[in-house]
Amino acid sequence: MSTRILVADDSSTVRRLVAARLIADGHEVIEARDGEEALELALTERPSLVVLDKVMPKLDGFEVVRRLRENETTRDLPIVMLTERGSEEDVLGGLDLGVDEYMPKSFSPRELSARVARTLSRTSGSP
Amino acid sequence: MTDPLAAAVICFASAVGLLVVFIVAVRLRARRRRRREQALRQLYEEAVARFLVLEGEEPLRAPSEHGGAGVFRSVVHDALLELAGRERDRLIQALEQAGTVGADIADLASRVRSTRRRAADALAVYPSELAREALLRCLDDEDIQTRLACARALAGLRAPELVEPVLAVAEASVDQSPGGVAEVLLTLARFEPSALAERLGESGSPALRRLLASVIGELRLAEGSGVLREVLASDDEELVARAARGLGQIGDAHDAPRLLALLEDRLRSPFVRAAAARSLGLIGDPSAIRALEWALREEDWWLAVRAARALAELGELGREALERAKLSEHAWVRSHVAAVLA
Amino acid sequence: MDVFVVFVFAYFLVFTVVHAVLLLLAAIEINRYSGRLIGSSLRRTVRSPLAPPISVVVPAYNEAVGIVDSIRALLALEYPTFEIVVVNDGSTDDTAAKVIESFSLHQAPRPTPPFLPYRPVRSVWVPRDRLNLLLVDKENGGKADALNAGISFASYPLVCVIDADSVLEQDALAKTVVPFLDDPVATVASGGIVRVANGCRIDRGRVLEARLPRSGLAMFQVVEYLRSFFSARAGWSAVNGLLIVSGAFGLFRKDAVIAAGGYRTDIVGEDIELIVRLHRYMRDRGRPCRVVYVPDPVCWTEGPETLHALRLQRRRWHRGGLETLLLHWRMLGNPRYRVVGMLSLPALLLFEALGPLVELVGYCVAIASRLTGTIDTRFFLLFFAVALLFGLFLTVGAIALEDASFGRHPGWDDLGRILLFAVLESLGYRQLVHLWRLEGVWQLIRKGEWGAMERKGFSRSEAALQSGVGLR
Repeated sequence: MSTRILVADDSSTVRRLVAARLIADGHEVIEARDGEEALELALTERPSLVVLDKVMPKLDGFEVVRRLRENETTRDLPIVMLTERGSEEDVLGGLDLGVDEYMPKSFSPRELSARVARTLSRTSGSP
Repeated sequence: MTDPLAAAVICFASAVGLLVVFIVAVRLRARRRRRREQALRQLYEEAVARFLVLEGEEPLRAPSEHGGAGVFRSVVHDALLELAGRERDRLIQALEQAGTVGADIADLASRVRSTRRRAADALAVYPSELAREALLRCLDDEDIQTRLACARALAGLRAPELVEPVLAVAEASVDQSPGGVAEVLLTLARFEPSALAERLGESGSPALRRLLASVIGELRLAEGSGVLREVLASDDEELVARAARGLGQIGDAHDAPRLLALLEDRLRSPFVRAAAARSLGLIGDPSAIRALEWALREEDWWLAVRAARALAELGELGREALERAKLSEHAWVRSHVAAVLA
Repeated sequence: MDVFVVFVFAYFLVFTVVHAVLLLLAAIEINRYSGRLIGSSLRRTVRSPLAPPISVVVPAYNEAVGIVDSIRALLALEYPTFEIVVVNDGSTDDTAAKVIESFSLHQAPRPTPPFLPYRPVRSVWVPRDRLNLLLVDKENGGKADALNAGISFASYPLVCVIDADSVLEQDALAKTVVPFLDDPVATVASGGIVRVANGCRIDRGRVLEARLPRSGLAMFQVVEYLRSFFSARAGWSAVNGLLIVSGAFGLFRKDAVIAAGGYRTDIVGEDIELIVRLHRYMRDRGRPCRVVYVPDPVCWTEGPETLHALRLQRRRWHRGGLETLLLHWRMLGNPRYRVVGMLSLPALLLFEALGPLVELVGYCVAIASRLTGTIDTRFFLLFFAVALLFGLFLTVGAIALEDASFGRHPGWDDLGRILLFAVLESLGYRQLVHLWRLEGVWQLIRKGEWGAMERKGFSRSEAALQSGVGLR
C-alpha cells in the first residue's frame, strides 16, 4: 500500500534527500517549501504523514502543528518533526503540541525512514 | 553664486542617475544568475539524493557545466550540514573521488581572501585526510576566519598529532575572535577531550582557559573534572565560576568537597559562590546543606536564589532546611524559600 | 543675505558629505557581513552549547488582542536556550487573563528582584510544565518601567528587549547574539534591521508575505527606514559610534544595563538615552563599550497609518534625542567617550537637532527673498533643486545598498514605487516631518523640566558588572 507523505522544509536539499529516501521506500511524496504551503497541502492532499521542519518561513513548524491539530480532518495526522540537536525545549514543546516523533538534525535518512515507518505502523491501527 | 549651485545640482542629479543605473544593472545580472543556478541546483540535489539513497548504484560525478562548481559545492555543503552517520561518510568519500575536495584544497592557495575562506569553511564541513597538508599550511593565513576554519577542519580529522597546531591557533586567535575559537574547541572536544583538559591545566591565555573550562563543563567531559577542580584555586574569578558551573554539569560527587570550600569562602565574589551553590544542588551531596543554609541568608540575590534551589534538590534534609529557613526574621529569606517550595 | 545663503549651502554640503561617508562605511560593513558565510555559522551558533542563554522581555499594555499569538511566535524562536518574560504593565483589558489561560499558568510566590526600580508587582505567574515563560503582573508605570521590571526578573545574562507587537524572524536571536560571541567583553548591546510591516500579510502574529504598504504614509516610512538602517546605522556601527538600538528589537548585556541603572522612566527617549548612558558608564570606568548593528533583518514593526499618530511619534522621537543630548551634554566633544562623544553626539546635535531648523528657515528665507526680488528665479529654482536632490542622493544610495545586499523587494514595480516615494519624500513629506520635530522642540522647551532632569547621577554597585558574557 503506497502512502502519501508530505515533506515540508525550506531547504530544497533536505527536501530532496528526504523525498528520495521515502520514494525509495515506496511512498508517494509531496513537497512544501514553507509553513503556509505545508498547511495548505496537508488539508487538500490528505497525506498519511507529515515530515516537518521546525524552522520555516511564513509559519514555523510549531504553528503548523498547532493548526493541524485544531482542524478536524488533520487532528490525528501523524507528524514527524525535524529539530536542532540538543534543544530540549524544542522536543518538549513539540511533544506537548502533539508531534508524534521527532528527528534531531543532523540526521541519517535511513533512520528517518525507520522512524517514519514506525510512526505509520503505530498510528495506522488507531481509529 | 548660481554657478556652484548649478554644479551641485548637476553633481547630485548625475549621482542619482548613476545609482539607479547601478541598481538596474545589478538586478538584471542577479536575476540571470539566479535562474541559471536554480536549474543547476535542482539537477545536483537530485544527483546527490539518488547517490545517497540508491547505495552504490550511481557514482557521484563532479559537475561539468559552466558555473556549476559553485552551485555543486553549495548543495553538498548544505547536505553535509544536515546529514549524520554512514550517509555522511559515504558522501565525503564520493566528494574525494569526484574531485570536489581537491578543488577546495586548490582554492586554499588562492590569492583571493574570500575564496580561501570559503574553501576552508567547506573543508571544515567535510573533513578529509587529503586536505591535511594544505590545511596545516593555511594555519598561517592572514585572515583570521580562514585560520579558524582550517583549525576546525583539522580538529575534525581526529588525529592526536594535530591537536598541538590547532590549540596553538586557538590561543593566538582567542582575543580577536573568541566565538570562532569556541567553535574550534567544540569540534576538538568531540574527538580529543583529554587534550582540552591537559591544555587547561597549563597556564596560558586567560581567555582561552575560560573557554576551555566552559567547553569542558557544558559538554560534560568527565575527563576534565580533575583539571576543573584544580582550576578552582585560580585567581581568575570568571574562570573559577565557569569551572564551578562545569563541575555541576559533570555531576561527579568527588567534586563536592572542593565546591563546598568555594561556597564557604566569603572572600570569593558572589557569582562564583552562586555557581558553586548551583553545582552542589546538581551533584546532590547532602554534606552541603549547612553551607547552603548560610548562603541562603546572604544578601546577594543570586547567591540566595541558587542556594534555595540547591536545597530543594537535596531531598528530605534539604526540605527540612528550607522549612527552618521559613522562620527566618529576614523577609527576603522567607520569600526565596516560598518561591522554591511552591 | 549672501552670508546666510552661504551658511545654508555649507551646512547641506557638510550634511551630505558626512552621510555619504556613512553610506560608504555601511556598504563596506554590509559587504564584510555577507562575506562571513552567514548560513553555516548561524547553524553552528544555534547548535552550540556555548550560546549564551537569552531572556526576551515583552512589555505589554492593553495587548489582549495579539499577545497570545505574539508569545506563541516567540516560543518558536530558533535558539538553544531562552525564556520569555512578559510584563503586564497594569493593563486595563484582559491581557494578563488571556496569557494565564492560554498557557495554563499558575500563580507562584516570587520575591521581587531588587536590581532596578519599578512599580510594585502584583503577582507572578509560571507554567506548570517546563515551558520557558514567565508573566509578571505589575502596576502601570510605562514602557521603561515595565522593561526595568522584566530585566530584573530575567534569569539569563542577555536580555532581548522588544515591543509587544514586534514580529521577530525565527533566527533573530541567533543573528544578533553573534557580536556577543565575537567580543564578549566589550559588546554591551546589539540590534538588527527592523522593517515596516504595514502592507504585509500577517496572520496570528506571523508575517506570511512581505509586501510594500498600500498607503503613501506607510511608504514614506519604508523609505525612511531603508535610509536609516542601510546607511546611518550600519555606518555608525562600523566606527562604534552607534547611538540607537531600535526599541522594537534590541539585545543587551543584562549586567551592564543593571549596573548603569536601567531605563529612565522620566523621559520619552528611553531607548537612545540608555545606549548613550551605557557608553558613558563604561567609558567613565575605563572599560570598553561596543554597540553593534547586525546588518540583517530581524524584526517587523507596524508604523503609524494616520498623520496624527505619525506626528506624535516623530515629536516623541525628536524630543527623545534632544533630552538625551541635554542629559549627557558633558559627553559632547569629550575624547573620553571616543567616537560617541566626538562624532555621534555632535552629529546628532548638528544634523538631527538643528537640521530641521536650518532647512525650514532656509526655505522661508529663500521664498521671502524670491518674493522681494533679492534673488532671481534661476537661483531660487536651483536652490530647491539642490534641497531635493541631496536627500534623494542619500536615499537612493541606501536603496541601492539594500538591493545589492538583500534584494528583499525583487519586483520591478516594488522598486519603482520605492523610488517614486523617495522622490516624493523630499517634496513635502520630509518638510512636514521637520515641522513636527520642531514642535517636539517647542514641547520640550515649554515643559521646562530640562533643568531638573539631571538631578541624580548613577552610583551602582560595580560588583554587578561582570567581565563578560558568561553562562550564568
